[in-house]
This record gives sequence, C-alpha cells and structure tokens, in this order.
Amino acid sequence: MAAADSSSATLRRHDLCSRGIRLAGKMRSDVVDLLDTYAEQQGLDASASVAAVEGVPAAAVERWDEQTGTQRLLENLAAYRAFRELLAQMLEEQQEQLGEADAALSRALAAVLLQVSAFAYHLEELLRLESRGPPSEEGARPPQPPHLGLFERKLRGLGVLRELAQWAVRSARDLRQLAKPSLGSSSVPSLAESP
Amino acid sequence: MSSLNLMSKTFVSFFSFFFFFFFPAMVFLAQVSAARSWHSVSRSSVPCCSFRYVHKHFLPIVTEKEMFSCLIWMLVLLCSSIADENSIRDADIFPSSPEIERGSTLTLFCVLGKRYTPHRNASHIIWKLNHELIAQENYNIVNETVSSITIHNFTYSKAHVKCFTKYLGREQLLVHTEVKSGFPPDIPGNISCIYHFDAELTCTWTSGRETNLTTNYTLYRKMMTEGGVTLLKAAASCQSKMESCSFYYPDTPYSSSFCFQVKAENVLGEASSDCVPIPMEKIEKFEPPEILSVKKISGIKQLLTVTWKMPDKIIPSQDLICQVQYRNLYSNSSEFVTVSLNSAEKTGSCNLTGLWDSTEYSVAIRCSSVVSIFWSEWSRGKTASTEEKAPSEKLDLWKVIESSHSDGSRSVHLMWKPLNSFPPSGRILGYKIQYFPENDAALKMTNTSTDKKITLLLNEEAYIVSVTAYNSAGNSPEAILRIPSTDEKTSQIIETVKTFTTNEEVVVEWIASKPEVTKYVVEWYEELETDPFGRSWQYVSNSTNWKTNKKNFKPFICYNISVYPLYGNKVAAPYSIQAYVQEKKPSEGPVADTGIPGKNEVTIKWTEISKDKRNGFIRNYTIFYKPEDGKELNETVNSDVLQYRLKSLQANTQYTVYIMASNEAGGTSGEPKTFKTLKFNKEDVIFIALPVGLSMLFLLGLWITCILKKRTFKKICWPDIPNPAESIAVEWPLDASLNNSFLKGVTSEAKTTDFEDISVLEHCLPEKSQEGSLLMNCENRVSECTAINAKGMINGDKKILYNEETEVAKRFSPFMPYIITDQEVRSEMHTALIPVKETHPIEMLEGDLCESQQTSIKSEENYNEEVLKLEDFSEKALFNPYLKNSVKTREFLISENLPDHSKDEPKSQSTVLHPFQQNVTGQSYVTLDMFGLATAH
Repeated sequence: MAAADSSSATLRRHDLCSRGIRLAGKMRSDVVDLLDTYAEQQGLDASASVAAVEGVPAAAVERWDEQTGTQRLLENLAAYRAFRELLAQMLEEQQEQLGEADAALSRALAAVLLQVSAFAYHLEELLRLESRGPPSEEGARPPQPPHLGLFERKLRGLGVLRELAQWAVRSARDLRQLAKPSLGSSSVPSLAESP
Repeated sequence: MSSLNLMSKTFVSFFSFFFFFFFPAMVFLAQVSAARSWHSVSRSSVPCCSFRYVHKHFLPIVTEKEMFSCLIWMLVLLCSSIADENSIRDADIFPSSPEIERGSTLTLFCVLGKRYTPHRNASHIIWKLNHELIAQENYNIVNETVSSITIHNFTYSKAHVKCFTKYLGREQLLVHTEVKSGFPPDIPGNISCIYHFDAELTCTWTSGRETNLTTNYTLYRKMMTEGGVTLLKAAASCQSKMESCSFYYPDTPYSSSFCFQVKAENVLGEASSDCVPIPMEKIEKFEPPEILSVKKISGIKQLLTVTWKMPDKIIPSQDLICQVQYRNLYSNSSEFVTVSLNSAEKTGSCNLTGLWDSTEYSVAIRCSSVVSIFWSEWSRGKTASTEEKAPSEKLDLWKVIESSHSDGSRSVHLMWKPLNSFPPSGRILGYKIQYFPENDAALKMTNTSTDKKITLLLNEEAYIVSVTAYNSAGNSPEAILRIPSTDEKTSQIIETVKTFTTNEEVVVEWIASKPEVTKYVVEWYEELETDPFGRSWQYVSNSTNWKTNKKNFKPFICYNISVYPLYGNKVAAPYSIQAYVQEKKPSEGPVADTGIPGKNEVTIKWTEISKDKRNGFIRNYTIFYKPEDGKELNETVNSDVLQYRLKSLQANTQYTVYIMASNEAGGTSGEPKTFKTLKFNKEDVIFIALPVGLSMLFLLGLWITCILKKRTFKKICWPDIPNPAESIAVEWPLDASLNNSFLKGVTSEAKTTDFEDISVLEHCLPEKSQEGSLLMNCENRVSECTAINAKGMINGDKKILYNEETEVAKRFSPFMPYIITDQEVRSEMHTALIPVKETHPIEMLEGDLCESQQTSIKSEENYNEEVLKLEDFSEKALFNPYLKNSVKTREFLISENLPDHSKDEPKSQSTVLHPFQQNVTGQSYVTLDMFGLATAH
C-alpha cells in the first residue's frame, strides 16, 4: 500500500514537474518578450547594467547542484512570491505613469504577473507533495522600496524582469532535476547539472 | 397643459438658478482648489463637469464641449424628476416587469394618480391579461387609490398585464407591464475550454433547461491547491449571458492548476457547477506551422522531403508532435506521417517515401503539444512532384488520310493521345515522330512536336509512321502505324456495325469476320466536321463493342461512326454508319414548289432540308393539300421522294399545299404555298379549238371556192335557160321583139340583177310576226310601190322604157301561162314563174289582169318545157320570201273557190298549185315575184 502511495506520489510529482517545466518555459518566453517591449517603451538600453534587485533571491547560486529538492522549491517559491509583489508594484506604477498608449505594456506586465502567480501556486503544490507545506507569505514580502525617482524605477523594473527571466530558466532546470525518478526530494543532484 | 407650464417654469427657474448662483459658485470653488495644488493641472469635477486652470493666471478654462455636456446632464435630471412626479400623479404599476417562476402566483398593484381622484377610485380599476379581462374575484382593493390583482398558476412564458379604469362605461388604459415566467437555472455542466496560445481562453458549457428568464453566467478561473481552490487575484472571472465566455490575452495566465467553474443566476435563483480542473497544457492549440519546402532529391525516386517552421508562439520546453498529410493528385485519400519534435526546435523536416514516380503530391502539416487534445489547424498546402521516369506505355496513335492531290502527294494527319499509364510518367516534354517509306527505311525522317498532332505530306507509297513520347527521364516505346499506299485495297473484315443508346451510354457493336483481329479503332465525328483533327477516336482491345457516355456526343447531330480493325500496325477497311444519339423534329420544313398546275393535277416538288436542320433521319415526307373551303388531304411518301403528283384535284380551284418532313422525333411543316388549278386542260383546248378552226377553214375554203368557181356553181345550180325566143327550132312569135333592143336589155338585165335590187322590195315587207295582219297592207304597199315605180318610171328617164315594156307585156301575155306541178322542181317553178312575174305587173298596171292570166294558163301546157329554161328569172324567185307568204295566203284565200278539177290534183301539188288556180279562177292577186320582176324591169 505504501509502495503504491509512493509510486502514485512519484507519478504525481513527475507530472507536476513536467507541467512546471512548461510553465517556466512559457514564463521565460513571455518575460523575454516583455523585456524587449519594456526597454523600448521606457527608453532604456536593453543591455544596460542594472544593480541587483533588493528582496529577490539571486537565480545564480553557488553549489546549485548540492541543493535538495525542497531547498530548490523553497527558493523558487520565495523568489516568485517576491516577483509577484514586485511586478504588482511595477504594474501599479506603470498604470499611474503611462497613459492609454502604453496599455500594451501594462497588459504584458499583467500577463507575466499572472504567470508568476500561477507558477507560485504550482510550486506550493509541489511543496505539499514533498510533505512540506508552503511557508507563510508573511516573511516573504520584499522590503518596501525606498522612494525612487522615475528613471530609477524604470531601471529597477528592467532589473526585475531580467532576474525573472533567469529565474524561469533556473526553475525549469530545478524542476527537471526534481522530475528525475532516481532522485528524492532531498537527494543531491550531480555536479554536471549545475545551472 | 398644466404640467407643461410647470415644466417650463421649473426649467426657467432652474437655469436662472444655475447661471446666477451655481455656476459662479463652482468657479469660485475651482479657483480655491486650484490655488491649493500648484504643481500641475488639477481636475475638479462636479458630476460631469471639469474645469482646468492654468495656475499662472488663475483663470477658469471651460471648454464649450464641457459646458454643453453639463447643461444636457442637468436637463436630464430635471426632466426625470418632473416625469417621476407625473407618473406618480397618473398611475403606476408595480412591481414593474416582474419575472416569476412558472406556475407560481402573480400579484400586481395598480396605483391611481392624483389626476384621477376624486372622480375615480380603486373600484374603477379593471385588469386585463394580454387582451382578456381578468375576473373580478381576482381583484383586491387595497385602499382608495390602489388595486391589486392576483393570478394563480401563471404559466405564460410572457404576457402583458394592463391596468384600466372603467368610468361611465368607458375604459382607459392607465399602465401596463410585461410579466415573464420561467425557471431557476440548472447547474451548468459539460464545461470545456480551449486555449488559443497567447490569444484567447474560451470555455463553453451547457445550461440545462431553458429558464426563459434573463440568466447571467459567470465563469470563474480558480487555482487549485491541496486545500481547495483559490481565486486568482486578477481577471479571475468573466461574465456572459450565453453558454460560453472568453478570457483574452494577456488575461490568459498559463497554469496547469486551473479549474473552471460556472455560476448561472437569474431572479429565481442561482446554480454553480463544480470547479472542473482543466490543465491549460491540455487545451492548448497552436497556430499552424508553415511549410518551407517540399522537394524531391535528385537521383532518388519516389521520395519527397518536407521542411516546415514551427509557430513562433509555442510553449518552450515541451514535446510536440507534428502530423504530415500528403496526397497525390490522382487520389482522394491522404496518408499521414507523425513526427516528434521538441519545442526548442524551430523547424522540422521529414522524408516522404514510397511515393509514385512523376507524381505531384500535396502536403500539409499540423502540430500539437504531446499532451494537448487539440491539433493546430492544417498549414497551407504545398505541392511538389516526385522524380520522373521514362514513359513506360506507348501512345495510342491514329491517322486521317486525305485523298491524293493531283501530283500524287497526300496529307496524312496523325494524332495521338496522352499515355494511359497510371500514374502518368511525369511531364511529357514532347513527341518524336518518325516516318519512312515501307520499302526504303533509309529515308527515315524525324519530326518533333509538343502538340498531340501533326500533318505529314507523303507520296503515294506505303509508309511506316512511329511516334514516341519523351520526358526528362527518357522515351516511351514506339507507337507504329502503317499508312497504306494510294492504290492499295484493304480487306473488309467488319461485316456489320450497329449502334444504339441506353439511358447513359452510346453503344457501338460490330461483327468481324476474322476473330483473330483483337484491336479496333472506333472513330466518330460530326457529319459536317471538316477538320481531320476534329475527329474523335478510341482504341478498343479484345472486344467487339464499345460504350461511351452520351455526353461525348451532341444530341440532334448526325455522326459518322467508323470501326477500323487493326492487325499489327496495319489498318483494314473500316465499316461506317451514321447515327444520331438523340433526335428531335426538324428545325424547318421543306419548301414546296408547285410548278405549273394543270386542270386536275399538279406536281409538287421540294428540296431536302439542310443537314444541320434535320435533327434526325428523315423518314418520310407528307404532302398536305387543301382546296379552298375544302377538307385537307395528305399523301405520305418516302424520304427519297422529292416530288409528287397530286391528282384528282378540282378544276379551277385554289389549293394550299405544304410539306411536312418527319423523323423519328416528329415532323415539321414548311411554308404553305397556294396554286390554282386550270379551267381547261390542253385536251379541252384542242377539242374546242380544232372544230372551230376546221369550221373556219371550211368556211374560208367554201368562200374562196365560191369566189373562184362562182360561174361554175352558177352554171350548175342555175343553168342558163335557153331563151325560147332565140330558138331556131320554132318560129317564136316574138321574133320581132327579140330584135327589139328593149327586150334584150330586159333579158340581160334580169341575168345580172342582184339582191340589192330586190332589197328595195324587201323594205316594204312586214315582219314575220305581222305577216298576217299586215299582209293586206303590204300588198297594198306593193301596189303602191308598184304604183310609185310605175310613176317613177313614168317620170324618170325610163319613161320610154316603160312604154316599150307595156307594149312587150301586151305582146307576151297570151303566151306565158306557166304551171308548177311539183315543189322539187322549184327551179323550174321559178323559171316558170318568171314570165308570170314579168307579165302580171304589167297586167295589173294595165288593169285587165284576169283575162290575160287565164289566157296564159291555158297556154301553159303548150310551152312548159321551153319556159323552164328561163334561168335568170328563177334566181330572183329563190331569194324572194314573199313567195312563200303569198302561197300560204293564197291557200287560205282560195279554199272556197277552188274549181272542181283542181281538187282532183295530188295533194303535193295542191299547195303550190293553188295560187295559180286562184289566179286561174280570176282572183285579182299579184305575187311579189311578179312585182319584183316588174320592178327589175
């Protein structure tokens, strides 16, 4: 019976991981498109260097391959919750700042926001499957940003989207790692699959 | 009127208030507000109005548009308040436009306005459902101005309930409302969705029983979690009044954890479905891929390579499948190949193998996520042909040989058909035609053509002709045909050919005398077709009949159908027939030509109808002819007869004739012609003209003869009577007188007296009818005439003659008593009379007639023979009609006084004899003969 449950859980996890990978791929695709639109719309150079966004875990991490599945899921969830807040702030600022002509950018931001929200829920589902419920959102809220000027806000938005794109890549890899049947949630991935 | 006045007053007061109080107040408030915010343009709005200020000047800037919209808004408010007041004042019904459950009880209230009180109250209110009065027992008077109606078990889906007042027998509609009954919504079911990638997420469901009421549906998109479902923060639902609802990009977040729920609600209640989990990856539908190329690989037969581009919008990191559909253009069925891909690959490709050579294929592709239940639409098709191979079948070759020209050359028209191989051997680039005299292959000539026909000019020798088709891969086998020499006689192998039609087909059957011949060519063309290449033909193998669809033949057209036996490359003598696939009656009838009609017959001629108007084989001609006001008759003759002789016609009658040409389908008549038969025919004319002509000729001849032989006739008919006076045999007592010149003159003149002289006398004669009555007058006149003559003579130059005559008469009278004994000897009688004639007038004139006559009768017998020879006198007597009359008269007159001896005479003589007897008896009667004679003298 326990074996059957284990097998069912494994299949369920595999299914969720596969779907998560597609979500991450779709999200990355959308964010990449949005990045171009955003930079163009805001008058920014797409290749401009941007400082790390405060409150968002960095996608690039040392010893990625040593992380456990749960760790990966938690980091992912924390990141996407942060992104959700940041994108909501960006959307609000965008709606205040820009008129009807920039509605397309706002719609694209809203779409990515929904993607991020959906992915966050998906990660929570995976965490539940790992017999570990999702952490409370209370502590995950990013700090309230300081009062920034318009240009700084634009740059910050560019940074958020870039980081989100990287996180989409990392999430796909994390989930692919989790989907491997030989590896348990706490197992350590091989070195070769470092992001 | 009062309400209008009230409205206008209110309107005016409102505007006065607005312009004098409200507007300046707003301006003031706006200025204050503007003073507070210095940075930017502020917007202060009072309901719909906005005022902008440029802070530097603190002046209000109110556009005309804004001002106008403010005014309109206020006017609407004012009007609505007035309307409300009026409605309450008149009548009201509530609840308004209720929607109730089917079969439930409906209760409505009608409120009378102040306008109707105190004259009318709630007891005057009556109710109607649609147009029918509702029974009074359903009414309930709530108070003086309110009446209610209760309708139990209301089952109308929609009805109008009307509130009337009935006062002094007159009904007046106060107010009405529409009532609907229906059902609460069922729980929506069968929720399904489709996700058009990054464009639209549409869900549909079934609503169950028709509610008949306005029902709103809300589609909820929820995120499923272990603990239940969570509504997304944004764009989590959409509203609809139908059984579908859509989210549009970007409100289309991609998640595999969504569930969809539908809530239906109307006034009677609401019902929600379960939240149905629908992972979006399962309902994902791509844009169709785009085919980049479909091409063959050189040197590899029966293969095509297809490459395509995946749609741009596709979820990365997922497995995809694409389906390649290909179909050759000769087939209706398609084949499929499935190709697996990863979304990371932007293009896909695959090889289609096992295809037909030289065959064009149409290719289309569609793709899908491996987990989706929806395929994309098919891409636009693209076509390509497989590698060619040399044609494997030989052509069907045929010829039409024209008759030789004067120089011995002849035109040979060659034609051939495309290859019958299936699948065909690719694109034929052209045809190679080779021909050479049968006896000298070294003189081989070669032509090429891209057309499927060619005309060769050959001499009278037999030729061998071959045609091959070629494409890029090679040549087909040769199709060979022998063209016989001009003087060559080919054998007749086919004995008979017949053709007939069925409902759909034309069948040609033939019988061949040589069963070893197994190949034939059936050739057919329109009879009037002159172009050799316009002929149709078909090879037939191992059969002695051939069927083809009727559509290959035009109806009502005559076709020449020939069957040619083929043995080897030689063509034997054909057997040809003519046939119509379908006939209709001729387009026109023959024109009749009547020619020259006879008395009882006429020959009708006509010409054949032109071939293009026959529309079938002419079976016969019918000649219709009808006399004027008579019955129409007809005669039918065979089609080879082009003239007909109508007999037994009525003479001198107008006829109408027309010809009808008939074929199997019917007959058509030509223009009618009229002719008239003759009154006489030639025979009649001859029979009439000949006797008349002969008679004329005879009369002419007689007249000429009379002229020429006048003297002879006279001699025969009136021979000269010798004058006894001149006789030498007897001493004529008148010898003395013979020498008398006067008597000579009388004799000679008597001989030459013509009828004109007598006619003088005739003038005195009465008409025959008056003969009797006028006889005496005439006789008197004769007397008178005689008297006149006598007078004339006396008075004229012949006075002397008269005297002499008198003397002669005196001398003659005793010697000239002539008696005629028989009428047959009339001439003799005349001659016998002459002396009497000559004598009697003289006697009468002298007044002693009786005596002298008696004397002459007595002496008659003695001198009878001699007197008869007096020819000249008898001629005059012949033409004198008076003689007869006088005879009759005499007969009548003398009947009493006949002497006895005369009664004994034969009867035949008596009639003639009487006058003389009378005279003999002494009656004083003078015959005209005598008178005439006397006149002549």
